[in-house]
Amino acid sequence: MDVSSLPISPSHRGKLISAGYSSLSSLSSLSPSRLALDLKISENEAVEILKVASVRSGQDKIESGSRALVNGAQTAWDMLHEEESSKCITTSCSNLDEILSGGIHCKEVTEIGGVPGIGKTQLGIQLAVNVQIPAEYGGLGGKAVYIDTEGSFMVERVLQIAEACAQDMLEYNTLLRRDSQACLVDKQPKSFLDNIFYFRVCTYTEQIAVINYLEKFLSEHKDVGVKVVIVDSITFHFRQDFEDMALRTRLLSGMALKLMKLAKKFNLAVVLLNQVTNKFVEGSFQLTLALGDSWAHAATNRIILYWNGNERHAFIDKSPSLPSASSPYTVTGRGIRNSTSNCKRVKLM
Amino acid sequence: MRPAELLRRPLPTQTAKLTLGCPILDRLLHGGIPCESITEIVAESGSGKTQLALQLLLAAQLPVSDGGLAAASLYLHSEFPFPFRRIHQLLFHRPHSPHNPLDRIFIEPLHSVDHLFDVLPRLDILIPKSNIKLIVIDSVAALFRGEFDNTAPELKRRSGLFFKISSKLKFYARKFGLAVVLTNQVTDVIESSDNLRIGNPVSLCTSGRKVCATLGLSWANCVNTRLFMWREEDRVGDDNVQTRRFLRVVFAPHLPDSSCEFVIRREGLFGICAGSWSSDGSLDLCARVCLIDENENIIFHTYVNNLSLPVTNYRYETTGIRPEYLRDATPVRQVGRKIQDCLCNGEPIWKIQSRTGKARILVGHGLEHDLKCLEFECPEFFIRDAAKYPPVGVCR
Repeated sequence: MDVSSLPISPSHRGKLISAGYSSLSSLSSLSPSRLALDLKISENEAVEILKVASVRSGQDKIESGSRALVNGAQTAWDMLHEEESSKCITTSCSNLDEILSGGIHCKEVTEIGGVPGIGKTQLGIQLAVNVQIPAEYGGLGGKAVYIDTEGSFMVERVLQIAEACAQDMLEYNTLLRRDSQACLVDKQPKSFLDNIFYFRVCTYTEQIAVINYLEKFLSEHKDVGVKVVIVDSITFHFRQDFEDMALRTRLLSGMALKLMKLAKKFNLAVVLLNQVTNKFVEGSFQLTLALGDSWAHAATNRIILYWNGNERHAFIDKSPSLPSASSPYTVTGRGIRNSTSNCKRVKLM
Repeated sequence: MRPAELLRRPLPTQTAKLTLGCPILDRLLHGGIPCESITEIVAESGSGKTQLALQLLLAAQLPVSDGGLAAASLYLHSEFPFPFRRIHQLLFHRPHSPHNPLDRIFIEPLHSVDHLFDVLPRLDILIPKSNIKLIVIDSVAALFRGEFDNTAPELKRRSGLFFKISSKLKFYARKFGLAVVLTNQVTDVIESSDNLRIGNPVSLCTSGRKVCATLGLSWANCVNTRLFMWREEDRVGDDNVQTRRFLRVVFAPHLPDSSCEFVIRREGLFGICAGSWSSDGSLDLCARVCLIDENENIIFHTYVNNLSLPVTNYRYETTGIRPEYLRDATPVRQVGRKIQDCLCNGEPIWKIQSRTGKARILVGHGLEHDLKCLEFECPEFFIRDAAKYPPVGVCR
C-alpha cells in the first residue's frame, strides 16, 4: 500500500516520500523518534503519522508513543501461549523425548555434540525424517533442510529410517483407527527423501554462503513448510588451520545469529551437530564441545552425547527451560530408539 | 558458483559402492566401500590392511555391473616398499583382461606431510585426466607419527592439518565421485578403572591387547567410516598356533556395529560366513518351529528335541531359547511328521497336486537349510522360497 493514500497533511506526505518512505510496510517497524529525525518534524507529529499508518495497515496496535517503540514485540504471556500450542519434533526415543519435554522445539537452536560414532548423524537423519510425520500422527508434517559438511549423509540409511517410520505410522494406524480406513498412510519411504533439501558444502566459505542464502530459500519455499534446519556438522570446516581465531569467532557468532533469526522468523527448529575436542584445563585434558567458549553461548540448548559403559547416553548440558538430566538411548537398524537395558531410565540431576 | 547450486535435487536413492571382491565382506559393508566419503581401516601391523588396499586397487577396475567403478586408482604410500610381488600374485588369479591392470594403478610414495600437501593440489588435474575413482593412502599414521612433538602448540597444528587433509579429500571425493580409503595404525590403551567414558570410543582388542586408533580424537572426526581389523591367536594342539582375523565396523553413518571373520589366501582376502563354517566341528540344529498362516495366526509351534545331542551354544541373543525350553521338547522326527500333516491338510501326500486340492503352500526364506535340519522332505511345488526369488533374496 502506498503512503500517498494516508489521511495526513500534504506537507508530511511530501516529506515522507522525499525521505524514501514510500510504502506502509517501511513505516511498520519504525520508532517515532527516528521518523521525527528523518523528516525533521516534532516527535508528536511523528507519533501521529505512525498511528495513522498502523490503522491503515490494519494493525491497530499503537496506542501511545511508548508502545510504538517496541512495535513488533510480544508479551511474555503471548509467548507462553504460543509455546504451549507449538509442537516438537520427536526423536523416536521416548526417554530422550521425556528429558527434552517432548522433543526438539521449534524456534530454538539446539546443539548436539559427541564423540565420533556416538550417533550424531543418526540423530540428525532421524530428525529430518521425523519432522515429516503428518499432523494426524502427532507430527509437524514439515520438511527438512540438511546441510552436510562432512559427507556422512547416506541415502540408504535415510531410506531405512524412513521405512521404519512409515511402518510405525501404519502400526499406529491399525492400533488406534482400525475403523477409519480413509486415513491410510500414503507416505512412501521415497517421498521422505524428496522432502529433505540436501546441501553438500565442501568449504567454510560455502557453509557461510548457504546459511546466508537460507533466508531467501526459506521465504521462497514458504509454502512447503520447512520445519527443521540441520547442520551436520557446524564444526568441520572451522577446525582446519584458522590462523586468525578472532576472525573465526566473528564468523561463527555471525552464523549463530543468522540461524537464531531464521528459527524465530520461520518458526522452525535449528539443530547444529558439533564435534568434541580435548581441552587443556589445569594440567589435564578434558573433553568439551569444539569451537570454544564464545560459541557455547550460540545455541539455546546444548545436548552432549556420551558413552556410559557400553550404553549411549544423552545429557542436557544447557537449556533455559529444561532441568539438566540424562537418559540412555540406542541406535538400532530402525533408527534412534529407547535403550533396552533394564537400568533406571531417566536420571534427573 | 551460487549457494543455490549446492542444493542436490533429486537425491539419488543409492550411493555408489566399490566391491571388496568378496560377497561376504560386501554384505558386511552393505555393498562395499561407499563413494563420496572417507573410509578408514584401522589395524595393527600384519592384520591385512595393505592386502585389502591392494585388493581394492584391482576391484576398482572391474566393470560397474560387477560392483567395481570401471576406473583407475591412485595409491599413495608412506610405508615402504610398495608390495609389487604381492600385487602380481593377486593379478595372477584374476580373469585375464585385454589391458594390463597395472597400467591403471598410479603409485606415488609419500615422504612427509608437506609432500602430501604438494600432491593434493595436483590431483585436481590428475583425477579427471586418468579417470581415477579410488584413492588409497597407506598409511596416514606413518606420515604423522614421527613428525610432531607432544606439546600443545604442535598438537594443535597437527589437528589443523588433519582437518585440512580430510576436507581436501572430501572435496575431491564429492567433486569426482571418488572412494577414499585410508589406513591407520593402532596404539595401546592404558586402561583406567573409570566406567564413564565420555570420550574414548569403544575399546578395541587385537592379539589380546587393548588398543585404539592412532592420531587421536580430532582425526576420528575427519573420517566418515571406521573399520577395524584384528587378529586372535588360537592355540590348536600343543604348539600349533592358528591365527584368526576379523573385520569390524566401528562406526559408519550407514552401517550397524557388526563384524565378520576373514582369511587371507593367495587369491586375496575373503570373508567367512558364520553359518557355513565352524572351527570346533559343531552342528547347526533346529530348536524351534513355528508355522503361521497368511493372517499371521500361529498354526503350529513347538520346541524341538534333537536326539539328546549336547548343546554348546544357545545363541540366546538371537534365538531367545533357554535350556529349560528344550527339556521336554518334541523329538525331531515327530516335528517333521506334524509339519507334513499341516501342509497336506488331510490329503495323502501322493495325491496332492500343485494348484488344486486342500494342500497348503510353504513360504519362507532359505527353506532348504531349515528343512534339511528337520530331516523333512517336501515336494518342490509346495515351496515358495524368498531366497530363490531373484528380486528379494540372495541364494546361499
